[in-house]
Amino acid sequence: MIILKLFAGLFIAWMLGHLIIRFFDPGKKLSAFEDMALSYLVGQGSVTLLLFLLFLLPIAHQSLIITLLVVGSFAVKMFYDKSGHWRNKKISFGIFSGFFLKRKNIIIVLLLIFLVSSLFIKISYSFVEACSKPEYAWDAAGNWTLAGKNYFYAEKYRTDKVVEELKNTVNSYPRGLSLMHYWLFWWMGEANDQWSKMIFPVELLCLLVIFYCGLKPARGQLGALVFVCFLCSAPIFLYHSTIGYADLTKTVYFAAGMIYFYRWIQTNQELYFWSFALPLAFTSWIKMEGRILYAIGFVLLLLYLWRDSKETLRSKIVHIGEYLLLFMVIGLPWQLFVLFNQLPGQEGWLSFSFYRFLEFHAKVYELLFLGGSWGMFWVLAAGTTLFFFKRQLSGRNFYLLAAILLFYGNLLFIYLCFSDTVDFMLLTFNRVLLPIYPVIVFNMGCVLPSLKIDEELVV
Amino acid sequence: MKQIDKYLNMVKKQAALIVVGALVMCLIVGLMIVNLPEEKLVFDLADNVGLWQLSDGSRFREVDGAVELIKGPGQLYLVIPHLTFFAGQYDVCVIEGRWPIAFDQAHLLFISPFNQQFNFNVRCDFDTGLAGGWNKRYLDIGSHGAWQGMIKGVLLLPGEGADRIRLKSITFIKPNSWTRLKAIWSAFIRYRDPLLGTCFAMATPILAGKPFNPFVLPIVFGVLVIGGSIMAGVRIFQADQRISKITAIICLVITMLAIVTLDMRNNVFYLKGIMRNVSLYWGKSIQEKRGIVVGDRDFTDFMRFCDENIPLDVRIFNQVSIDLPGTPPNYLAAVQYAANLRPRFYDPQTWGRKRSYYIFYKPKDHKNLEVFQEQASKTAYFDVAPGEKLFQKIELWQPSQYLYQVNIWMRDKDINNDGIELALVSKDKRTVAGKAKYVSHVGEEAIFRFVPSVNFGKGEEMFLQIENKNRKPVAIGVAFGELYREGALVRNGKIINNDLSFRLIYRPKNLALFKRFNNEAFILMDQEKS
Repeated sequence: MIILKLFAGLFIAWMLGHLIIRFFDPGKKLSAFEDMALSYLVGQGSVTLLLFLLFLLPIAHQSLIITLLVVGSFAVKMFYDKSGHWRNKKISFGIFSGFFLKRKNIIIVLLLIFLVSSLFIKISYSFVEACSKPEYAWDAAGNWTLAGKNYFYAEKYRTDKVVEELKNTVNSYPRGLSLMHYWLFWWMGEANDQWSKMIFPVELLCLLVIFYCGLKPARGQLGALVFVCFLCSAPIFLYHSTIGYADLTKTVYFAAGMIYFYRWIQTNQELYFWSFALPLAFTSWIKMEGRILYAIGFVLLLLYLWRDSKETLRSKIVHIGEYLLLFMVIGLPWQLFVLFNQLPGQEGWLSFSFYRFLEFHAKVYELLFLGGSWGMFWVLAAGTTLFFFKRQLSGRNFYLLAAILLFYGNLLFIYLCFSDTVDFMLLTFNRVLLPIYPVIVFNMGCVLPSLKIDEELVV
Repeated sequence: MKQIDKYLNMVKKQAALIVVGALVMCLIVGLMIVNLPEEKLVFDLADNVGLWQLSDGSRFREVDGAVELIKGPGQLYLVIPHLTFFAGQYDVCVIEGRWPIAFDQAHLLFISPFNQQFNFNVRCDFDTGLAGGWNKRYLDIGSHGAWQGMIKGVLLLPGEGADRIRLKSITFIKPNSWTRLKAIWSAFIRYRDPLLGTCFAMATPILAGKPFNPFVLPIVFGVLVIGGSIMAGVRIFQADQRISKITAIICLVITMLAIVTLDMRNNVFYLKGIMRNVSLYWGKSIQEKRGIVVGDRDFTDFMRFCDENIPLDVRIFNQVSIDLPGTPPNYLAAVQYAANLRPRFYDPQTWGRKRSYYIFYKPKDHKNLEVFQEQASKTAYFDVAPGEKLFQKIELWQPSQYLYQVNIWMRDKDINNDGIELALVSKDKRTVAGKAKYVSHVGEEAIFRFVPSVNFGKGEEMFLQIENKNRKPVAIGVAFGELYREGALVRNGKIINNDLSFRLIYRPKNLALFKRFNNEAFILMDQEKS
């Protein structure tokens, strides 16, 4: 029963996301799976944001209000949407259709079986590992689940304490993830930190689908699947989908945003612009560092509009405005909450030292190649950059490289300039790197040339 | 022509038969070679009762030619003290048993000239395999650095999670190739539990397995360097571009093969992880699961006991005893404390009028129970000039406490700590109520204690005075956020921080027993209301 309630909570979040995505995608260009994945991510962010805003109002039963609003809107949409997905159009699950049946080459079938089973093992592990035990990891329990639990009990026993609990935050971290835990606790009727952890494998699954759909036009089904498997091959990445840290959530939103940015600059379809801007704005609602990720997206947007876009000046300004507007709606409310309540932030003291440059890179080398559980990923990434530098700079691939360099530049800036944070950040360096990891894998998928063995066997 | 074709076909058939025959012969001979008879030392536990011992409090019973070990209050282990043989005689150890938890962690310890007593740091680890049925676990002990000279006893920790384990025998083997392969393979795919008892400030290298990376990485790096050199050479000498392309493809294929190999091994770990989770957690209540995850069922049960007994509108002090050194498992316990209890909602205006509650779990010193008031880590440093004084306003909120310890951050480790004077002064900032003594330095943190203790009343305004009596400035760190008590940091007569900035540790006094969970875990409360 508790699982049914949990799924109801996840489903309502998905419904809200679906309504938003449909608003931006009236032409239903996304395939059903991709729509589901993106809808969930947007829904999770939106439902928590709505909860936060409603908690600030002097009303009760916030979760119930959201549920009624979402279900009502969804029903109205389904009823009135005459050209809707559900009535007039056959739902397309096209991204996987005929995946095995059309294949004749035995090698391809075996390769597919190997890839799919490998992926299945990893995703199963992620779900089983995450949902078989209560929260145990330090930051996950102390920062995210604990806050969600406190909101749940505050709402139950002392509704006047909810806002006070919202203010009780480490380093002014936004409360997106904690509110998602709260949302699921509310649905389950108990603060069950074992099942609420399911959001992380679900997020991972959403990212994998978006990643696959993003890479499929460039590499085909088989090639895209190979890179999805490659994405899951770094143990630290999969591991983070099981422990409940916010870093995975932040990573998923950032990576989804970057993938859609790439698709937007390739296709110039407005849907992809929103699919890029929305997740990036949500990163600032997950963690404070999300503001930097959002800023990276903004720099890329400006760079593209200045360098390659053939849009009119008015259209460019509109896009910039839309991107900024999303931050005002999604990220700014929390920043204002922090500001007005004078919540303590993470303060660093500027003390630039170029000496730390070498120290930083020596440590980074050790962490990336030896101690960080990244497997062979960084070796291959280094090889790709070395061997295919020209392809990296050509066409739209340039923007992915720019995103990676901006991320690296930001890290370097922090390490060189804030001495107090260096030791701590190096300690957490592997998870600091997580957001860029899927982007680098996606970039490799776009840059590496295809291996064509026969007409069907193209990786 | 037909005859020639016929002849050729016949020759082909004969050749095929010869090849198949040769292969079969090779296989048979190969199997015979790899499966040669082995020299074994079998120690059957059921047949040798009396020649081995169990840990204190643990017991056993004989079942179907095996022994079932039953865990006592402490750790479960088995010692065979007088088993003596030369290490070079046997390279593989086989442990036959039946474990209730899949892929639990187990260890074999031994005494050799390199370690004169059983030392946990010198051990052979193995996982316990699938749950439920009889398993043989192969240990490649010959590859262990300390497995040399005369072995004079072995100790087996048969599992970390299970309460009852059945064991049949421990066998030491001079292995043939087949047994050796099994032992090497077992070590290669050994499941390492990534989760229990670890603080994840940084995700530890878990599934990639450290020993493999240093082996593979130099090869892959070598390939990349050679490939890069060839490509650079092609560019410099303007040679055929196809050389570059082929080089790049070869390098990538080699790297991809390495990745696939690593990944396949990871998949084995993931499968083992799934099976372990199912056997360990399936069908248990969330409370039981919490106990398993924390690694201390007693503790989680005690937390539940606290949650059920302490009112919801009071303040609770103490997460766990301050004596715990702050190692990862204790952080974990602290987190579980928070995760296990419902939050207590008290109002700053009224909470002082209610009794406070103190949770103690396995305190080292029952006479001197301590209250830990954690605060934010330092966020800034001030250079305090020689002779300069910093004042920290403090106020006692609980009548049942007194100030015991102050921790301050000092960046310069070479500083003379005796030159930092720390005292408790009254509101006029002149009358000294007590002085603190420097105790020790942990990292940048200097610890001072008030011995004897200084008593001051609730609501009485006092100042903590920090004076630099050194001849050079001292950088002292202060916190600016996440504060639990009010105060004000004063420098040169000006308030520079309206909140408390140093870590204070209070001790309770006049406490009464509220509820007892057991002798090592209890709840105390204030005897007096304010």
